[in-house]
Amino acid sequence: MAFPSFKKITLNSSEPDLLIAQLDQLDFRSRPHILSLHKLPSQQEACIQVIGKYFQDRPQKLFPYPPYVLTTVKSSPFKEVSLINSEDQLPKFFKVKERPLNHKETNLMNRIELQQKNFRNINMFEALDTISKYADNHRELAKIQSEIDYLDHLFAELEIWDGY
Amino acid sequence: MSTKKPDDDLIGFRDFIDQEPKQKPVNDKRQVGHEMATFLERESSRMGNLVDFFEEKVFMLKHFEQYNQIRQKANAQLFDKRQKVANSLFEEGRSLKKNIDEILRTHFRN
Repeated sequence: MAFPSFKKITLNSSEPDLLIAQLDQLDFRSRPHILSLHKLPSQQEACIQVIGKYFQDRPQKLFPYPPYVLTTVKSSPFKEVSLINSEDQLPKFFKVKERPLNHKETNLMNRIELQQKNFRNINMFEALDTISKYADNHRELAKIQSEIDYLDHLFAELEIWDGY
Repeated sequence: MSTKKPDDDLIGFRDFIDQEPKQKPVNDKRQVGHEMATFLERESSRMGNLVDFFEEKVFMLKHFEQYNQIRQKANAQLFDKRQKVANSLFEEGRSLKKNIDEILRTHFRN
């Protein structure tokens, strides 16, 4: 049972195959991870490219705990990867010190584990596709609605202009 | 410490009365336990909301999509508004119509 607080992982290689193999070993869906690039200062950009592509191809690994990359690089073209320059930038919510749990806490932990299992059964590709389509449709509707609002405004102005 | 006078009624209780209460440490075990339980409760609630969103809400979005009906209504409304604005622009006595008439009369009088 993995306690859902941050786990820091030091990445050892910038070689795509080795890096992907290391990432494959991690269970991103059981707890939040910090991927530290401090051992590879000169290859950080290359690593971020590989990590970004890795999560782009496997969006199900971004939920329910998004991974964070600890690096000195400021920005990345991949929206899937959150870059942080120091551990202070991490969300405080998951900064909890792990310790042996009492009875009540163990029950809560079991409940969380069950919910994680439920989450794993969700087809994330399908869910994300549905959400993305829903967002596109709403953008389309917003565009139409903004034109309707503009025409309403124009009509009202014309009425005032011509003194009707 | 206790004052040992033979006529003191409180003899034997002095130690308890004079004893200073112990200062509790700020982060005692109970507080930490409470923090942990709160964190786990919040995490459980967060996970529950995520499962609910990705399972229930997405199912509803996928199987009971209202986009086409809303889009049809919005398009009909847009068409009406465009027609209303266009008609109002070319009504008799409107500034636009007057100006266009003036321009046409000036350039194509004959």
